[in-house]
Amino acid sequence: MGKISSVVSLIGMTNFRGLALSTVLLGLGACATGPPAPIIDGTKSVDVAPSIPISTAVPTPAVPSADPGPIVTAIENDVQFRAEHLVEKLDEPRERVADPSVDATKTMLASVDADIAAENFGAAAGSIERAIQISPSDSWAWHKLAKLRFAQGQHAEAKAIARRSNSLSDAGGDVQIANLRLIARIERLSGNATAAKQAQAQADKIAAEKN
Amino acid sequence: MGLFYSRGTQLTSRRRTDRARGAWRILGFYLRHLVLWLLLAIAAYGIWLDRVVGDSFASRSWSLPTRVYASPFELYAGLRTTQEELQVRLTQLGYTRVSNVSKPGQYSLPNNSVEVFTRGYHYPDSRDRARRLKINFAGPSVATITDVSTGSAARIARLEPLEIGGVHKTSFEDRLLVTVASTPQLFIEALVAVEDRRFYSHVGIDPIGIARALANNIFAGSIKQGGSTITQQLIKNLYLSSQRSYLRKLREALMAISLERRHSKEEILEAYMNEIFLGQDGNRAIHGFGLGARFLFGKDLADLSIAESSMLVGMVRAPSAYNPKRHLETAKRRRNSVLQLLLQQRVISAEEFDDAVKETVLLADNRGFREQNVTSFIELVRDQLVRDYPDAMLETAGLNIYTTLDPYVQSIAQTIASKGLREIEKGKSPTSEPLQTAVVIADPRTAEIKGLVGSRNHSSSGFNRALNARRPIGSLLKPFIYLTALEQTTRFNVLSRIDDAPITLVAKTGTTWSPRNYDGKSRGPMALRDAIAQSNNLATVNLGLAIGLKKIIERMKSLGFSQNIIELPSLLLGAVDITPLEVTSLYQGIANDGFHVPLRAIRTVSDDQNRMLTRYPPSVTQVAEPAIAHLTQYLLSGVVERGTARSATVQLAGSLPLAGKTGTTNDGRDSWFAGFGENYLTVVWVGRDDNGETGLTGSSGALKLWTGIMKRIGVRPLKFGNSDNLEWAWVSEAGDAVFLAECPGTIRVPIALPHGLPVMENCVESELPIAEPNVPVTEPKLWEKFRQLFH
Repeated sequence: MGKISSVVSLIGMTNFRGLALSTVLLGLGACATGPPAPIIDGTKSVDVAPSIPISTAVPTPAVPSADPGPIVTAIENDVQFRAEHLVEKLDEPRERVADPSVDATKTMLASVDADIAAENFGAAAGSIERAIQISPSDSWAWHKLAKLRFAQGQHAEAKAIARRSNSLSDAGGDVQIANLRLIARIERLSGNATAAKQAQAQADKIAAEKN
Repeated sequence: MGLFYSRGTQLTSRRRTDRARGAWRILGFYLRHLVLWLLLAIAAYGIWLDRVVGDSFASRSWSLPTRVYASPFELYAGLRTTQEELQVRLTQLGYTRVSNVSKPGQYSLPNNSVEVFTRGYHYPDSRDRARRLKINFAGPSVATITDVSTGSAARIARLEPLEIGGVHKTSFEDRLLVTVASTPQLFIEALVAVEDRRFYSHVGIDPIGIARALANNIFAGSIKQGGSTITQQLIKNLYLSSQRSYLRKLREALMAISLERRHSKEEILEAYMNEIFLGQDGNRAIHGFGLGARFLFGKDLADLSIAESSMLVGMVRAPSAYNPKRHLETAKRRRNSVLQLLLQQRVISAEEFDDAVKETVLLADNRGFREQNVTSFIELVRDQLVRDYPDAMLETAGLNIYTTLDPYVQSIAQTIASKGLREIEKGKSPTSEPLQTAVVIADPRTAEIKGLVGSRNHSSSGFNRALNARRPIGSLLKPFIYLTALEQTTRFNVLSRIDDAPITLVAKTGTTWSPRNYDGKSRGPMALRDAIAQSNNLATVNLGLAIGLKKIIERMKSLGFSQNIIELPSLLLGAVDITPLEVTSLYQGIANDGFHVPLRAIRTVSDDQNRMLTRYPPSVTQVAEPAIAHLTQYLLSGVVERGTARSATVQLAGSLPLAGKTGTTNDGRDSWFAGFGENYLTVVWVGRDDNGETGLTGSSGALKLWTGIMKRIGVRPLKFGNSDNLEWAWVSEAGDAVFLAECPGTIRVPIALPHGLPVMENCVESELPIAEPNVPVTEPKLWEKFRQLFH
């Protein structure tokens, strides 16, 4: 248990009460279950009787605040979805809508390759991390992070990030080729010739399909 | 005799004179020596003090608390946000709404746009200038951002990070360091005019000032007036007690002279400006004009008006009595007398004086965001920090912690959590123990924590349920069983039949365990995707036993379960106690396409000069194949679309598909919901601290809060990522054949490769295999299993 003399607080008010209470409550929580196994039922909402009516429009507050207004409660059993009906609604992979945050972070990533080449890793990290914070689905930003980690010698991390980048990208895109080539290089360096060849072949195949 | 007498008399008187002379001589001798020794002593004392001052002043460092900041808000064309949201964010940052924007810290709201003069900010690795920006909205997003001063479009702009708290001792000194160079000349002139007119010409002590003070003191009969120079005041504040005695005064004077001998006027003034005590704010002592300006007026020292500067300078004499937050009128009178003095000494013009005395006092309202409970979040920040920084350093080294918190998201989460519980309790008989809650909101892609609620009321502190409440997770565990099943791609797909049939397990000890469905009924063979959507316990237990407990536990560990899991079948229904934060971490891997990123509350840490010390970048480990993670996401989207969480679709119709899972434990002691879209993963727990019954299910409790929060923070639909080993196909309802075209009795679903199913080219019904339950198959080792013959 940390030092009691030092506390974490909000500015202007120290919000700290005994760790003892936490410990007691923690104990209580921990006592909630234990072997032999208790019976725990899963949830089913079919039988939940809705008693709270829907309140729809949330009035826009005149004074700005983060207060979201009343909670809108939904009636639970009025709509019986049928499986067939839902299949249509569910999710074939759809065309990716252009993400405006990707455009906004383009300039941020522009200097990254030069920074990595110059081993200016701090600057590269700064740009890449900010780009990822703003645009976490940008496969290029993640690819740059994979490149940086590779340059820093963190090969396992680089490989995982390159794969992550691939799962964010559109199939058959340039970023996939770049990631697969990076993975091939890492595999080659770690002595996995087969995996390296496989990744390289996949990259070449996508490149060939593009041309 | 006479002679003798006379001589004697003469002798006596001579002797007396001699004696007197001797006495005087001796006295003189001693006095001279005394003075000499005294002077020597003072000199030695002075030399010693000189050393003390010299060593300690040069090596002194300010005790500075650690400051914790939220993440800065980034603005760009296309960003989904509204004028209202931006206004809330600006209010949280203490921006003032005006009709015409002219200074940093102001904003206005022309039609469907926001004009804002940002304050600028010095980040550890970059610097943002203060900029005047016009942000136009189109629908629910930013259309354009224009830099008003240049007229050109800005690609990206950010608002400075909001300071949300600190790490420090129970009572502590707080300051924002300033330099003389960055302080406006007027402020320094005002300070010198009021506190020490001859500051730039004296040698540390001011004989004229002392003489005046001495005269006044003698007149008053006690020490009333100090006549202290700025140097003496600094010495007193840094090294001496507040006791008033002539000895202390001497010491102060000697040290002041020494300080002046060794240091420049600028160094002394700078130290004074940062040391000066300006009042108390709870346990926090406000020191220095930098923090004084921020605390009183919400501004940088450099941005103060003449009137504000005068008010601040006026407080030096009596910080409590002249504190405008407590005694506005007294503080105003003091300000005006300072202004009068500045006018007399020609520091300001008559015109400036007239304007300044008329100026309305605008005090900063620091309560805005700080009333919100971020204590829970800061506790998490501290947990992460102590791995790298010792306590002593956190309390005094003036570190800056840039965190991942989104103050807007935090505000919404806390408000909805409190409000939601009140609504749930409405109409129910009051219990001694109120409902409690914990909420964790993260971006699944970066694993950054965006909001954290540890208690239903933001005013209360203490037990942080998000971090410390270990509760059984019930059905929140099911996705990990289904994920493990789907990894056996040739054995299971999302339409595979599993048997929702009653089962009784008998342990070697003779104890029996007969799990039930929530409604007590069993449904027989059903599709895997429906079993999880409806959260059927019997189907899940049968599936889990078919895969094997050992395998499931192994898989849970590789997905991030750090707890010791006991190999009991009840595990399959979530008899494992973990915290909401740990649940978030487990779901992150699934939500992030099979790539686990450890949850993070901190982005970077910098030192007191804001130089970068540590970065906390996302680190990635692959814990599942993207194809399998996508299938699991697909199953969980069924929970929201048509399963136990379908009530969420009413409010979140525009954001579908969303994935999630309800969780309920015995008698509704714990009501859980964990769910995600593309940009947010949110876990909600509702229950009681005494582990009492709530009568709530995951959907009638936690889900209500989850839905409200996700709607307000703008959750976006799930995007099924790209993966090599997944395709969408027409699959027979029984999950036992793949068709190349749509046929009656087929459903289009994602299926992982290799699926090992027969592929049908045409819709020939007779060729369809008969649907048979393909689960359960294997017998659990530890348990003997009796299938009940009726259902």
